[in-house]
Amino acid sequence: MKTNILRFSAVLLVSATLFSCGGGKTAEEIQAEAQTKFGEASVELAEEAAADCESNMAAYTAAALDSIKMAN
Amino acid sequence: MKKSSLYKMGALCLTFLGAGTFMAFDDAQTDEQKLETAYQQLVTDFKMEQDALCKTQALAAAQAEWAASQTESIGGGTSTATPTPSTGGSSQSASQGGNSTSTPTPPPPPKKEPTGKGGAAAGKTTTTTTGGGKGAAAKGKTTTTTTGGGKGGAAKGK
Repeated sequence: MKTNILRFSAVLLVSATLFSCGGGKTAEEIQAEAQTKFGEASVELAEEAAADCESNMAAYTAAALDSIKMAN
Repeated sequence: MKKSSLYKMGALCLTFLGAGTFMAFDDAQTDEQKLETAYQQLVTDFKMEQDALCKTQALAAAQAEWAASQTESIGGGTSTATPTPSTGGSSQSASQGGNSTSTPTPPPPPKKEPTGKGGAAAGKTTTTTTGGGKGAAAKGKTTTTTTGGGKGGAAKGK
């Protein structure tokens, strides 16, 4: 009797463990969470991108001007 | 015998429990890693898009600057290299444009004597302003050319 109870408990524990292991997030859930996180940080990212663009604008313009001059 | 079986079962249960806990923790870490990877991918795409836009703006600004420089060079060349000859009579109408004419009037022939009627008047300053264009780097170029002719207000004094 005790053995049966222990076996039943073991099976129950294993089942519960397997169910808990199967609780991983799907790809859609992960993508949705990433989108949410990205939306929260979008303002900071936009400001950072604008600052980078402003700092690189002179170099980009000079390079483009050189390309235009070379093409002409 | 029974105690041994109980111990075995207990050890088995603990093994399954430990393995399950480890797998659950490992899965959670994997989810976090997947989430971080997806987020970093979104950030990278956003930065690349913004960088492409920045390069497009820089290209537009460079084109505007190039067009402005070309316009400046062309305008300067025509004002000095291709003056259309004109007679003294026609210089009167041409000089009435005054300032800010895009086509500078050529000077009248210097052979005419200043009779006071205004054929060989003193030079008039014509300011030609070109520029504009698009982009942040677009800038106006101002060239000042001095042409002669006109009604000869200064010649009246002679």
